[in-house]
Amino acid sequence: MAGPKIRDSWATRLGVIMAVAGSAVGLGNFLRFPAKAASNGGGAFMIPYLVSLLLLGLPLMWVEWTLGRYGGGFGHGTAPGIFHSVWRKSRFIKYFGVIGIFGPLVIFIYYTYIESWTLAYGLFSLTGKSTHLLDQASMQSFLRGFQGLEKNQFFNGVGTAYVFFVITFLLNIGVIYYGIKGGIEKLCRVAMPLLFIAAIILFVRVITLGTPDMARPTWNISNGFGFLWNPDFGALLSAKVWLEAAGQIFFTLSVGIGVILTYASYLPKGDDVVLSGLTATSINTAAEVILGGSIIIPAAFIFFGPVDITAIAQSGVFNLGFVTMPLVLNKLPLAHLFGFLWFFLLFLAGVTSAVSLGQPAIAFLEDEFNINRRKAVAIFGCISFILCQFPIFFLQNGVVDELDFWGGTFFLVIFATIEVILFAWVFGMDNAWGEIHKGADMVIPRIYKYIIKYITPLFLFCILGMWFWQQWLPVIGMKNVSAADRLYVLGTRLGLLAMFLVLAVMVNRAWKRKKTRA
Amino acid sequence: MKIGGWILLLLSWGMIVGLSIFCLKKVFSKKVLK
Repeated sequence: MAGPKIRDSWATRLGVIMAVAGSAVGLGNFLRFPAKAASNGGGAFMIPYLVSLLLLGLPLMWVEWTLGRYGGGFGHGTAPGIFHSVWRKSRFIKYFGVIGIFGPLVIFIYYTYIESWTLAYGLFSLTGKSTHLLDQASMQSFLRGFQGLEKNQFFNGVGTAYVFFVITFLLNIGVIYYGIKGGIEKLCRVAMPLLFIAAIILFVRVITLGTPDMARPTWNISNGFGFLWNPDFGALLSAKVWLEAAGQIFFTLSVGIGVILTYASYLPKGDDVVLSGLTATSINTAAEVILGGSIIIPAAFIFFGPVDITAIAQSGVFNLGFVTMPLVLNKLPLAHLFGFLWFFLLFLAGVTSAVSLGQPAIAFLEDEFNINRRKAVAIFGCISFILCQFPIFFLQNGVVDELDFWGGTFFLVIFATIEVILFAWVFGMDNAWGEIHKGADMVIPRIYKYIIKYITPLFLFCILGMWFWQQWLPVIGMKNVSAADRLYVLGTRLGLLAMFLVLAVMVNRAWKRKKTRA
Repeated sequence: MKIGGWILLLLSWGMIVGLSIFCLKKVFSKKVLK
């Protein structure tokens, strides 16, 4: 067998924390969270949210950091190898690990395109291309024209969006090309403080809006916060609210995807994971609850009032980010600057997440096929570029929603369940507890030994059970898909299945190759 | 905003800010800075 290859590593502890926080802080913090909170009980939503954070998010964060560091010690940076290191007797566990490469790749395919919109809109704001639009219909038309869904006075087709996509794609690949230390860590150490500065400036601007229209004295900042925070405790009786909160925790912390496993695999064996995991979690939660919750919904309330805000909160993430917020900012003095700042903030959140989504596939090629980084990035770049064309050209046919559902929602829960069972039950909770605390700078409260072993898996089984009970048949039967889009959705599903199978075959080949060499 | 909203906001923000300061203080302390 070839001697162990020297793997890339993090240069500093702060670098890895910033990278994990950067992966977690994404568009969801500033768009998805406020919309979910506003539509699921307001302030009362924070109760299931914090419960899910403590019983699901934090334990999974520690499990992923620990598994990643453990697998990295054996030269594996992705789930197939990491799972195999934990359960060597099983011939099949490595195939479950395929999800940890498949999920990030699927998300990367559509996320890069959405990330490119933020770059484009940032420049549109700065140059004044969109800052003169002051009503919902024209801003909506601007977005549809940009996406190539209609030809209008703003855009002739998808060309502009495509140029921005190519620039963004090359930027992401460029960062990944320079590796963990030289690319991702350097980016995150600059981008994360900038992101917080941009968010704080917008936060201050929003909370100092007061009552902009004296003719409507109730449309003020206090009532804007009230719309998001006034509790409706009756909502806590709804299972849907609890599921939405748990889903948001998954989504926001980037757990169950596989990227934290990969990032943690570049840590030396004796490095702390307890404090680092907790710090990354707290940075992400601060960005989400304090900054994310204080910008878009309170600002939209002030300008659109209590009647329209409910529809706005439920209008979806794209509408909130690319229609509502630019409209709000266009009504303020210095609209160019604040518009740019908003999209710059989203772009930074997007780029730090996108590079983390690309890394597992690169690590898989490097670690399991001994391919050098340059070649691995070239292979990944070519394949992902081709795959990215589908969300761009079939956006109106529900392809992005489909990719998001399977890659960014369903498989997250499945993957997290496998991880926690493997960690607590196969590896054994006593071994796992010892492994978590190797080099730890703080001790986890002992109750978490029982939470990780019993509560977290039970919570995950409940989420899965509820999902199968409520949504399995409608999803499989495409009941919510229009007849015109069914063929595209089916095509996307078959494409995803093919991708999964190709990755499984690659895992099989990699292990056979290793066996032959041994 | 109602009093219940203020209480939930202040409790949530307080917990999150407190936890973040605690973690960052530990991370930046010489004892654990690697």
